[in-house]
Amino acid sequence: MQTFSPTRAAVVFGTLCVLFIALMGRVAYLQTTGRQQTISRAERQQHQTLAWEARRGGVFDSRGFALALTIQKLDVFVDPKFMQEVYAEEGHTLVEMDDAIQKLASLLDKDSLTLAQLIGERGDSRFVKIGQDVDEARIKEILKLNIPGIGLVPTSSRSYPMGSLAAHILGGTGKDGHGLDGVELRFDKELAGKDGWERKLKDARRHAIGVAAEDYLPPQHGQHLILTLDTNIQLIAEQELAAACIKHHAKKGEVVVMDPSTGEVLALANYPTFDPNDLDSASNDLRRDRTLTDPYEPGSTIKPFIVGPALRWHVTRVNEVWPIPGIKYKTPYGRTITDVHGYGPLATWDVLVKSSNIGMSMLGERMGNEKLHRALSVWGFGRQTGIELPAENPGKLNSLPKWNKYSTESVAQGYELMVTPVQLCRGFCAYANGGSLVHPTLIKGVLDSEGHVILRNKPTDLKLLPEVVDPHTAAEMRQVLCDVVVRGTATHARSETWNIFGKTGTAHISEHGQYSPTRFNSSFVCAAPAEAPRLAVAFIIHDPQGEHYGGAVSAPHAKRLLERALTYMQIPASPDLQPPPANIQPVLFHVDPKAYSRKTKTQTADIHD
Amino acid sequence: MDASIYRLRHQDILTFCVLGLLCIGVLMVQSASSSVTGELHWKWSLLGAKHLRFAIGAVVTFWIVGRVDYAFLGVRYRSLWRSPITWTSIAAALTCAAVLVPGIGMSVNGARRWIKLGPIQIQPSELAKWATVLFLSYWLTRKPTERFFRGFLPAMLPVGALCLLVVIQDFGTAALIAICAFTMLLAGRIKLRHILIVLVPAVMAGTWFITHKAYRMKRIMAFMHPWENPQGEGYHMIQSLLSFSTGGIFGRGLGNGIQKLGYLPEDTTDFIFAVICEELGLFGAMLTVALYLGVVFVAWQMIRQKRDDFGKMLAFGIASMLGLQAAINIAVATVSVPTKGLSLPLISAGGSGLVITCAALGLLCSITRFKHRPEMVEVEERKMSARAARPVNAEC
Repeated sequence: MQTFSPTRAAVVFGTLCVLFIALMGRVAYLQTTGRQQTISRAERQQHQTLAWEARRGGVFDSRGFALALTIQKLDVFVDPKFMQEVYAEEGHTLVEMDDAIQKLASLLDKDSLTLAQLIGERGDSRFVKIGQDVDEARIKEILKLNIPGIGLVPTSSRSYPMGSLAAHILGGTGKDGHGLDGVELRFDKELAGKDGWERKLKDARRHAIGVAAEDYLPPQHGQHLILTLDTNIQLIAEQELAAACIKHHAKKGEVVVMDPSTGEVLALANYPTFDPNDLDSASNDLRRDRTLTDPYEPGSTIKPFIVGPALRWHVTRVNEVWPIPGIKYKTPYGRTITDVHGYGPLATWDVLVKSSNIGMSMLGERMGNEKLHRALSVWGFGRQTGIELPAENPGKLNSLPKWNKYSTESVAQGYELMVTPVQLCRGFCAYANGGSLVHPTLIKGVLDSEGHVILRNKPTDLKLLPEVVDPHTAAEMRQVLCDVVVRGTATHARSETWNIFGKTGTAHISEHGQYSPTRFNSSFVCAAPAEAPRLAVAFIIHDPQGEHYGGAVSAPHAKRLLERALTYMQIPASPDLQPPPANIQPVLFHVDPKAYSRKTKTQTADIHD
Repeated sequence: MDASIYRLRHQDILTFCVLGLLCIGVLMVQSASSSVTGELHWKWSLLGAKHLRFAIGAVVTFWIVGRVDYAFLGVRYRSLWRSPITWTSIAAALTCAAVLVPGIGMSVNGARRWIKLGPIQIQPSELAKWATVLFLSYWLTRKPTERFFRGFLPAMLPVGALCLLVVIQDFGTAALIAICAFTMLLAGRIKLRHILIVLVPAVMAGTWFITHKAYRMKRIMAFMHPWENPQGEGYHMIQSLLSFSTGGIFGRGLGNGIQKLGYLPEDTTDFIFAVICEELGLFGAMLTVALYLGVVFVAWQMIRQKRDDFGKMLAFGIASMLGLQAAINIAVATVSVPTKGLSLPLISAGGSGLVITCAALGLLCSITRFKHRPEMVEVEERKMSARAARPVNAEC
């Protein structure tokens, strides 16, 4: 009889085969779909990823002074477990440990009880951070204590060595090291660079086995920015702005200084300012760069920007006399325009010099809304200037259809439109450089992390820039605006060394839908020296107490700013100012040709000495 | 069987499979046991070199045993005591008992499983496995097993005794022996009701055994919820699963495994299949399984031949034992069943087991070489010639 059953054997082998196939299916499942659940754990277990922090680039002024730097500081940490173990091994008492902690706490400016509690609570931990950004001297003291389990971790920290200087341009960085405002925000990507990383393969004992080529990415350190800013001029500007604001008890003010031939911003300041090293104590309002974000109604400072195109388009001539009736003038539709002084009939020249609202209204009426609008829009009012700072406000210039009959006179006097100090300064640059509208810029160049130049911003040739007024009109306007300082509203801005030309503005502050009779924005836009302008300044003080005329509040400080800056720049003194041309003099209001000579004045000063 | 240039002979297929498995074993043990060094040239690890020596020894054993006719094992000796199978079984039982004696038995990782004989260690449970196969092949084909008390039970007693001796030291191997014995009983035309009578108490005993020991219970619990205690009970399983996910379907390449760097425990023995999968991917796994199935295929070919039942039963038992062990090991490595201490035959590091397994496969090789006529024919002839039957050798 058969003792072996091939059928049953086949069943067993068949089962075995099925078993194997099923197991292969299981393997394939674990390697594909089942992988999703475990791969992250495997990754965590087998690899350690280290971040290589990129060093943030520095910000320097055009002379190479550091405005913002990333420096390495040290954090102090303690390994409580190790500390306790060592103290226990060496047979020290708890009192000795407490003593050490007390000394440590005093060096770290911390409460010794809180520190002891922290270390006690996290006794099993291996890493407790107890001090941040500790300076070197204290680190030395701490290391001298020779406490076991104390360690140091290097951290990067952003430092602004000039303190609050140029704070609004720099903007500051947040806790995460990224820019919050200013160039730190605008050029955050370039400054920050790119963090690198390394993915190390580790064995079960956490020893690094190696790093695959594709697992290592070196950090790209940030680029350095070279600003067009000049620290010295910035300092002068900030000092003069602060002096003006303090003297006139004004809450805020702004100043912009530009090189009229290139559009480079040499100084840009807001008052009050803040310290980017200590952003915690600076409110958002304080940190806002109002020279760009807060447009205002400029008042009379807008007048040269209307007269210039009017002269160019031959709407008027500088010696055309306007029949100004006196202190009051009724427009054809019955609105009353008032002047501060009643001079009687004034030439266009004197309309600017004396800042006559009536004269400007008559000019506006002659130009008509369309030309008036065109005249203002060619200066770039109502559009962003494109300066390399975040959150630039374009200002406000209503589109023509929104204008009404009242607009003609309002706009001619500098109301119903809003401009930013940067726009104003940039516009004035055109008169200074012969009629070209420059691009305001803050960036002179960019260096890579090694210090090689990777970008050098060359100022655009003036001939390639849009011409707002022709050179002849620009020269004529410079002459008129020089007279503003001699015979006009800005006599306080007259310098003994350089010929300054400028235009004052005193505008009522609009509040609750109407103009306040007592609160003013006092501004002065100017440039010097008149024969070859090197600096253009827009100086605005908001709501000064007591005196409020731009010529009295802003002009003297703008003058001092120009004088100090030009002295620093070693600009030679200007020749004597030419009196108004002989063919114009007769139509002007009380011209004293002697007044244009500066020498008499200095000579008298000499005699007095 | 005709020697033909167009067909691989069965012994060639078997030799190919055995050599293939041994090669994979040598490579993978070397890979799993080597550590990261700065040296660029090939360097045998300590365990790799040892495994290579045993593998060479195993090949020699396979070759020698394969050339000896297996028939002497199946001869009906006048006395049971003269049968080599009896002596093998007794030797296995004695060594298994000796392991339990302190001083003779050696414990590794807390398990008392080895006997040290000079420079080599012997795992008696390995011996017990193959002794069971030999004993059952002999008994099921030579004794009348249709009677429960006179045929079946006497066969079960030695097997049960061996199982009990092994189960004390090594539950996994005991279970393997029991399952393999069960398949052989099936193939040996044992009545199903007889098998059931034994199976029920055996399963009950096994269940009691698992629930009795706390660590076995813990293993079962860990198998159900490995993620609950990833650093403790679940560690083996989780690390094995991570090996599969690290390797992916294409594997990380030979020698590039990460899990073997101290994460995967028992990476050269119980969990070597996970290392194969991590480094060689699904391809490596399929190759390994294909080679095991090659051995099973050869055994199946033997069973289909018109030949002696003892040879068939022996071939079936050997293939069944090997296949089952491999399947259980792979099931453990893929976390399909709870963890058991079973090695992957012919691949896992472990000297004596390798040589003994190769000796058993040598027997299979011998079965493919020497074909004996069915016993029934012999009985007829013996009646006719009234002479004592002598096995007729026929070399293939």
